[in-house]
Amino acid sequence: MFEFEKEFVGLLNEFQHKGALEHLVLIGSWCLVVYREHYPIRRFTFTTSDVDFSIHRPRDLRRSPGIALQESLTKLGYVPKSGILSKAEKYIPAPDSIAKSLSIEFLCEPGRNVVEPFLLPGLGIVANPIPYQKILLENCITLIYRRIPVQLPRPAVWTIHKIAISQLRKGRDSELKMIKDMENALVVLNWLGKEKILLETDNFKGKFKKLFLEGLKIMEEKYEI
Amino acid sequence: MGLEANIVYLEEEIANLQERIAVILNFLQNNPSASIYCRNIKGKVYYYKKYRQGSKSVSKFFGSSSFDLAGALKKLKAENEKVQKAKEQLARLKKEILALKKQAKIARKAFEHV
Repeated sequence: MFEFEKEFVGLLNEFQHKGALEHLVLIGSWCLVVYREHYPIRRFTFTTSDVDFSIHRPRDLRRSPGIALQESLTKLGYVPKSGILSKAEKYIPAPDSIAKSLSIEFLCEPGRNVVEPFLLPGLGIVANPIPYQKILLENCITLIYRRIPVQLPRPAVWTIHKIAISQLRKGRDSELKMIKDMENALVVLNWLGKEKILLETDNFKGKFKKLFLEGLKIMEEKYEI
Repeated sequence: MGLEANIVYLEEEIANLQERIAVILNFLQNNPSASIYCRNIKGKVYYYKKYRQGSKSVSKFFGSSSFDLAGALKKLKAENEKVQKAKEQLARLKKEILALKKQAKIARKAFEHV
């Protein structure tokens, strides 16, 4: 049992009940928890309270009424919190909700005119565009987790993405953050093997592949893989 | 988990808790605990809501004899319970953040030493 697992399952349950899970893809470190239920990956220390979802085809959800996701989250005991400088929004536990600890964020692929966070009336939430989401969204599988079908990226693609974005970390402690990303990626990489990951990389090109190769090089030196 | 990942985790958790504390403080500022009191002036009963705003004590007129006191008391009780829960939550988070800061300091020291 992972920390906050009960809360996470409650969240998934509510999203499934509302029919929102078919539009959402679980990304970020919480994927490891679901992978562990299905694949023989080794035990790992799980260290995050941030749950990230990426939104499938946000354009389809531009019209309301749709699924009142914000209402559901409020009912569960979360409140939206906007950033000071950006319009980005994340859901954090409400002041009077004692048993909650997770924070939830909704991301999407940036588009030609979609650079800033924007409100999705179809879900009632603000989506935050982050690069390279498309790679995860296009390589989805559905796994059953605690009887709930959850969409998430294929483990190999998730690992490649983790390694690539580790090279995009900026600001204070960027190097430490990069190492944390790599340690997460290493959990799946150790199970799948480097060859399989490299084979999968052939499907990608351009800057993303370059970022991945740079990250992998650092990992090879650091972890002797 | 390596030292680096542990530091990042602790720093992220501290930032998350700081955000939550800010939200709770804002909530408490906008929703102070209140009580209802009544005054009998020339045979007529007037109800007031009393709460603190900073260092000041504020009385707000609620209604006179025809006022639904039972309903207002019920609503106020629910609001006060919410405020109490938020205060408990704030105390818990403050303790948690202190512990995390201590852990982060130790982890950073260890990392710099290695």
